[in-house]
Amino acid sequence: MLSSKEIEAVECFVLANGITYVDFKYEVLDHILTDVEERMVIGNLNFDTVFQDVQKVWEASFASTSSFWFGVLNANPKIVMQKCTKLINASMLKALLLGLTLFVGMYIVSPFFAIKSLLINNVLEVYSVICAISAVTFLYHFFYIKIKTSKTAYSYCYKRHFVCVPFYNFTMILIENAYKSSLHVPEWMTLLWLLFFIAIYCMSFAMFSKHKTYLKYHHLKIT
Amino acid sequence: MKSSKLYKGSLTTIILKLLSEYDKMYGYEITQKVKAITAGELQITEGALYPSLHKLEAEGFLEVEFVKVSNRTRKYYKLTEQGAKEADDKLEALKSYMETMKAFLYPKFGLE
Repeated sequence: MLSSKEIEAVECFVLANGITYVDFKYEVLDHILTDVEERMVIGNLNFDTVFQDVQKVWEASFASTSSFWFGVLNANPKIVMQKCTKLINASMLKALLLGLTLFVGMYIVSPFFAIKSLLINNVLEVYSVICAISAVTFLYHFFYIKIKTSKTAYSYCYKRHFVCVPFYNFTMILIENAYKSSLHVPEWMTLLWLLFFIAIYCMSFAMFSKHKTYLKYHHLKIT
Repeated sequence: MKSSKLYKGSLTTIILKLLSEYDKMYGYEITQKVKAITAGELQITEGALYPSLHKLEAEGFLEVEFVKVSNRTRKYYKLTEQGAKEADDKLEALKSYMETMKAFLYPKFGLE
């Protein structure tokens, strides 16, 4: 069994490599510690020699990586970035499908015709309402993430990706206001954009909920 | 993983198959079990394993349990009912794929 000083050295290595997200931290730490313990027993070697070898094994997984979705300047360990990229890809695909389904539904399902007209005739008001709601929820989510010191891949995705939702909506309000009279945008395009924003807002909410559930659920599970 | 392109799509099937045989497993245990079964031919990288485990967990195929082991926390993965069904389906699909590839690689030429 490793001493507390040796465990501390491994923990420092894990944290120094950016594995600060709770959905990875404990698992990676346990993985490395178990690996070190086994190698020490099998090879009858000391901690320092084994730990150096194990660090080399993790080099590739800890390599600083960036992604198109998060911007080239926002690098994270590869192992974390892989999960975040999968989460965002799935989220964006769902938003696209949700937006398209609502759009098609409003043109072919008669009970939705009234909603469609309501949205198109009051597009500016609808954008304003979404902008206000998303700004309030964003503030709540942002402070919730800030207060809770535990970070997850979900909170990273939320902070890097979905914080812009209120600003997107605000930009659309400005564009609608400035060009309403001069630009003749077809009504289907206005509706499609609006529905995509609604879908992306729903996905941002889902991402935050996953973060919240992860923290709550996993702390309860420790036995 | 060796020949990573060929094995890449089978990672979730490998995880589900192992968990259907062993009640609960943790990450390191999975990598070592795969290595032992395949005599070192197949080595799952940590960078691929954990995102896959988390994805399966998020999809409801795996449930987790945190256990205090020595002086640290260990995360165990276990198949859910839905996960057990998924494991069966994935294995069936893999068997069918292997049969097809076998037929393609070693064709039996008849008298027709």
